[in-house]
Amino acid sequence: MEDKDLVSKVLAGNQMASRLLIDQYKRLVGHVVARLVDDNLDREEVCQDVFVKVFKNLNGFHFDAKLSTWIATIAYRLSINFLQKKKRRFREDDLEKVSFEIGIIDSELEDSDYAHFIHQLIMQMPDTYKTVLTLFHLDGFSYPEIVEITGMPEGTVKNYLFRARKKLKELSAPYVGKEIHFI
Amino acid sequence: MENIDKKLDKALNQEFDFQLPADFTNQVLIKVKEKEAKTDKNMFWWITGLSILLLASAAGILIYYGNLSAFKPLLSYVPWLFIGAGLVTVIQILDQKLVKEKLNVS
Repeated sequence: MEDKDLVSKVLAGNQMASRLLIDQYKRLVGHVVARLVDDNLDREEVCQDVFVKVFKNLNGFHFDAKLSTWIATIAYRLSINFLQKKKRRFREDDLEKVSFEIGIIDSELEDSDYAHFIHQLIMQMPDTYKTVLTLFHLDGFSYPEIVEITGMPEGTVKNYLFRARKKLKELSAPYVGKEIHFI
Repeated sequence: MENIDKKLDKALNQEFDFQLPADFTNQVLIKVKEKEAKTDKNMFWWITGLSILLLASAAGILIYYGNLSAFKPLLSYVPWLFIGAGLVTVIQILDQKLVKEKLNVS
């Protein structure tokens, strides 16, 4: 179902459409929230709050942006608000200053272990880098859309993406083809 | 060995270890309904509180001046009071019809 049809059905009171909207976007919301919020229970609560806000404000959404961009923006902002409430600083530090913890390396490494290793490294990155990487790679947003979601300038988004990928390659290159036990 | 760029792309496009529970959709819809009920309740208490305040003020004026002539200067505001009350009622009805029914959870 097209987003416009979906939204108009939700606004018309169609409960199935409300369910469909949640089912369609919970993966995206989960990605954005889980990259910034650490605890699983907190993640779930923030994800719920994102959708509560989406439904509350859906009347005022006029498709100036894609529905996914709008929902991701809400998820990003609510996650930052949550971190502030929990007195956990939103990390925007320099990527080069982060000391990454890498596991113990044994023998051959499967693709799924490599992916797990990469995601472990991403979780150690500053919040801005994590978000940009996730939005670009996992959710397929374009640079202008990431700009809209995060409020960062396009140059910064491109720079973060380039540096994050470079760092991941640097860190993982020596271990490709080996087994890693995560700390 | 597979090119590291390809391997990295594949890894970055892969889901990470977080999944929302199976009943997440229901939980959200229940939470939406709870929030609406809370808003309705707040509205009820606001209206009740305001009505009590108005009645208490009227009673105070009546007791202080001892007769209804004290209300004469206020009579010119009566039509506005009715218009205001009417508007609040219309907004409430529209809100109920257009917004609240949207997310009814059975």
